[in-house]
Amino acid sequence: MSGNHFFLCLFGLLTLAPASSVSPPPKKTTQEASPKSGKSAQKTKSKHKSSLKINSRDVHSQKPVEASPDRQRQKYSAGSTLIEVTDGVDKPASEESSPSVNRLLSNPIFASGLSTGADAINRSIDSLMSSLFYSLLDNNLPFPLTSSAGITLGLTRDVYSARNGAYVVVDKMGISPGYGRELARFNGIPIVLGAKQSTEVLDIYLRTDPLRVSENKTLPIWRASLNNWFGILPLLELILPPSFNVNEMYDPFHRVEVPFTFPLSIETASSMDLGSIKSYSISGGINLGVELGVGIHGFKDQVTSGASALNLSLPFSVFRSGSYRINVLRKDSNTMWVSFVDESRLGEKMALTLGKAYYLLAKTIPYWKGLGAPVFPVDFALEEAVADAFGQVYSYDLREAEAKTAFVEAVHGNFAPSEISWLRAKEDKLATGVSFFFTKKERRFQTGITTGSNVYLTNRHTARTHSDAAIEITDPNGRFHILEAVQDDRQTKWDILTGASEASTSLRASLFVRKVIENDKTKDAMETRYEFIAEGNPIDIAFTLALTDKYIEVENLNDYLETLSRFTQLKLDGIPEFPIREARLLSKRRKIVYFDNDQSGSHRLHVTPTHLGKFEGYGNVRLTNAQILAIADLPRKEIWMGLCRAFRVTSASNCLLWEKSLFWRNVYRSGFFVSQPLRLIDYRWLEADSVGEIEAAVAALKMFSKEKVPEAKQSALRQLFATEYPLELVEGLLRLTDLHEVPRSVELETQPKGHAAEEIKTRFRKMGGMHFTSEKEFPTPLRYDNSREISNQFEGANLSFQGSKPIIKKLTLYSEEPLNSKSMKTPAANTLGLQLMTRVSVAKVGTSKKIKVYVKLEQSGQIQLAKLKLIEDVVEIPMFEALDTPDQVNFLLALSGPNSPFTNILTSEAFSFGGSFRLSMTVSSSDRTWSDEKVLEFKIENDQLKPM
Amino acid sequence: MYRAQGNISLFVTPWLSYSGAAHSSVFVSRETKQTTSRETLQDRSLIQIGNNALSRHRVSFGRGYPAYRINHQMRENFGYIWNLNNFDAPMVNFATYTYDNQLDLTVQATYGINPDRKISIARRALGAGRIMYDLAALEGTRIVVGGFGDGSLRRAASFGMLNVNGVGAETAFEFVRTFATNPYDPKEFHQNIRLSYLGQLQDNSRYKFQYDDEFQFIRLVGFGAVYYFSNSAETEFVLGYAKQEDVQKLSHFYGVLTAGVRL
Repeated sequence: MSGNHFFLCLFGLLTLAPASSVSPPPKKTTQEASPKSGKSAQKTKSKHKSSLKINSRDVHSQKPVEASPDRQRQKYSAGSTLIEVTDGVDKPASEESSPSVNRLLSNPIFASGLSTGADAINRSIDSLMSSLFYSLLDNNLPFPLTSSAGITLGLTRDVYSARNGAYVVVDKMGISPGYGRELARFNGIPIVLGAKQSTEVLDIYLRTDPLRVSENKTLPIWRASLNNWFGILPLLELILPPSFNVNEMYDPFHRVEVPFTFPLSIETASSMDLGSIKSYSISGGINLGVELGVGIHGFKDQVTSGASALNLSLPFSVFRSGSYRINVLRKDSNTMWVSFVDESRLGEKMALTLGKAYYLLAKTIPYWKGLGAPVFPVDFALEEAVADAFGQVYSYDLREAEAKTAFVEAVHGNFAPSEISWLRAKEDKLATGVSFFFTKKERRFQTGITTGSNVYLTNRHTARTHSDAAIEITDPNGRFHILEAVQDDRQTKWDILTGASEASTSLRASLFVRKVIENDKTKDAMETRYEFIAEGNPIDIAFTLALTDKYIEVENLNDYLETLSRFTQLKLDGIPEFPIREARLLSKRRKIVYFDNDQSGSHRLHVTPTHLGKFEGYGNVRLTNAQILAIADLPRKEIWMGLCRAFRVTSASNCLLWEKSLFWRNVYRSGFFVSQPLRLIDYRWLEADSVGEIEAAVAALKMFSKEKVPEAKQSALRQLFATEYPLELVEGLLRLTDLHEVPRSVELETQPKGHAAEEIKTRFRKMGGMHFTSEKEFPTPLRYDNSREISNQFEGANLSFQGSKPIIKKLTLYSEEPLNSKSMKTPAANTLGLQLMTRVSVAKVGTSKKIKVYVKLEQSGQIQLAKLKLIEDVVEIPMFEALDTPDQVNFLLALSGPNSPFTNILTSEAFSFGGSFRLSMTVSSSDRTWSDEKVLEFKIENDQLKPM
Repeated sequence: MYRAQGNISLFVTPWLSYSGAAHSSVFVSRETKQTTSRETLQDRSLIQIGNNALSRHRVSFGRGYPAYRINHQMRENFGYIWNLNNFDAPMVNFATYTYDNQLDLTVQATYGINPDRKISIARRALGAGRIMYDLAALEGTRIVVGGFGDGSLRRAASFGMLNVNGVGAETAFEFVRTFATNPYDPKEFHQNIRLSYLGQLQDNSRYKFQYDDEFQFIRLVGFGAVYYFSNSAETEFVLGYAKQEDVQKLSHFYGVLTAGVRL
């Protein structure tokens, strides 16, 4: 079928002195709301002065646009898989889903400190937003004292995403005197001595948009202005892409207040927000090292002048460091938890970095160093250290005088009164208000490796630590010992267009032992050894996987689901399927591009894989000693075959050949010489590494089987877990065991975003909250789990608002016909066009006399540069007793019209022009605890309200 | 200045088509109101074997300015107004092979000959290439890298990025450099950075914006809108400002009014 295509274009060019007036596009005339149509229309007459109405009746003048219906609970069995879909009630956070306070505060890999400045900037700037804006709140002010010594005052902020849309904000203030000096040079290689001490105070708290907006209304004008950077922050939020996070920059002066708000007294403690954490630490260290470095000069460019293009640096150092940290958590209005950790580390570290931190736009603004742009194609570090840690956790009920005294002493570092008070409570049955959770002593031998590359616009990093530890815990029931072998692996990828994605795995073995101290007569000394506890399962093994991706397409989703399925060996049945590319877009593109030629049409993009939104997936597996021993006792051939399948070795004959012959293993291992250098840029080549990995895993399993003493078994497990391929290892182990006896689970969370078809977004939304479990249930928490659970309370990811959280059960949006002018006080009201009403049904409001409603309305305008916020406000709604069912309330809220609290010229114009809109709503009965956000997208066309 | 431009595409079969474009311009002096010059030029005349929607392999040959860059224009090219350095490839007789995997990758390779027979054959040859790769990032982003070089030692290299989001708004960034005889001579160095935006279609109109920064020569900015009367007819207005950075240091406001008919 042929077609003709003819386009004639006429234009005139004028040069003008003043700009001539430009006719705007024709304006829509305002119309009255359309007459009601559809089913069961029922007109309402407003008898209330305010549009904020409780005790509503159904009102429909047009077909309402409803938010997604609440999820319902479903349960069925499909083989060995159970599926549940929750109803949106909060679920406990996964252990490994987000960084812990300790990880937030100091990664053991980086704790030693290197003389190169590449380290700090390379890891601190991970996004363009960070280098443009967020780094404004990372201020390190050096004050040199001599050529070798100085003091640095640091004010920093980090923001992390927590579940349910909240953010964990970590504000830190620190003073760090430091000393660094080149002691000598040997053949041109400097030998450097460094020492550093640091005193830091941290405030870790939750922040949400409703909380921020609500807080703004209660603050004095001058403080609200400061918090919002005198109006610059709302402007940035308006013009910047949605990836800009206001919470990164809101209230910059809070960082300065941090040391003054640390709860050194009862009064200050009482002013802490519920669920927030305050922490202070004193740390220091000394290191001695050498640094090899050379500048690499590249091409000359008129922008740079003679400086080296890249720097290659190989520092090596030995170090000793120590830290003393106290964390205070306000558990509820009367209860404070205090923990302290005293840690010392001794170790060595080497690194290899190739790159340079450039500063764009340097010297354009006085006193501004420029826009940091790190370019480090190679960034590698290896560290080995032994760490000794001692920690305690107490709880204080501040209604008791004795607890108050003990609390004040504890935050000053003296826990003796706390111990005395607890003993009095335990033995004398006195209500002292002090509870003891546990004391933990730990000696850990750890190895950490980081590999990565950062070229400013994109970067990827893998941080892997594997360790073994001897832990002694004393809780109210007595003392017990654990030997632990752990590997944590965290892989992060980031690029300027799509943001970050992260995959974290944790392999942990806990050996329950008894400590035996014997007098060794031959050596005339006391010897310590461990024995397994006779009763119960002596070894508990837990594997966890956490996947997060803020920008996921269908191809990624399929990959993630396959990864979760392989990791847990669970069939993820019932998950909706999505075509990689939307058929309607493919068809539309073909029709347009059919008439293009190759010299034009460069803007006709191919249809790319459908963007779905944000995704989180969590997998958990538990194994017992008997199960891992059964795997280890299998014949070598069978273990090789199982692991080969997991490591994607397709040829069974090759696998058997490797099992039999060391010679052939070495032949196939030759790819090692290519794969190892690739590790420096964080690239893994599975085919080249599989032989070595399987061989090491089999050797570790056989060692585990052969050894009987706990220390040797711990060592074997550490060797087993020390793998670059934890996913494949776990899959291999599960393939070799009876899955009916292994508890496993997968949990999914989703948040649809973007402009995919509404049907696709609805199906993606329904995936959120899906929970897959095996028939075998997880064991009840063990004694060690209880202490770990308490430690987890100090994890930033587990911060949560205290108290009952309301739930928005249903949100309905409809347009209302303007009221009869006779009944209106303002006769002109019936000419104001579309009047939008929302009907909200909220549960779990408690006994509060009022509820607060946070409303945000954004428009996707003609200028699609960023979101355009039309409404962002918090309104209070008084509650009337005996009108609603207990603990539930329904109310109406007008978004537009004469009685709406939100009506302004911007919203009126936006509604009259029409377009696409996004309404977000959340409610609170306490001003601190807000419900989950309910989102509703709609459009207005020709003054008609329509669903998206 | 008044200009009329025509484009035509004729499809004999879905896989054989002809595409042509030409323009005619009249320059009128503001002071004397007299016509100072006229020109009528052919911009493009091509035969294409293969269809952009159906074929992975395509060949086109004819005469025109081979495409090597993204060239996302929100207003017409004003090269002839202020003697702007024209970043297009020269007009040549050429053949282009295109590989398009119909998923995300398009690769083009062009060989051309300058039709001016006064120049030696060695100096008339031209080679150009363009790679376009589409990512799902931000709901659709195209990366375009290309360049050309000819026997007269003209060289150009271009990098561009175009994002088309879910509602059809287009944002483009382009960076193009040309080098003439001596690639390292500052006088031979020309560079243009362009940022352009075309808004989504709403109420039959789309807003547009373009900013061009030619290194140490001129900066141009323009805002405008295009209004669609129907699928076949549209009008467009762009208002802008130009500031020259060279010795003349002139600056102007300008306006462009366009009407178009599609048959």
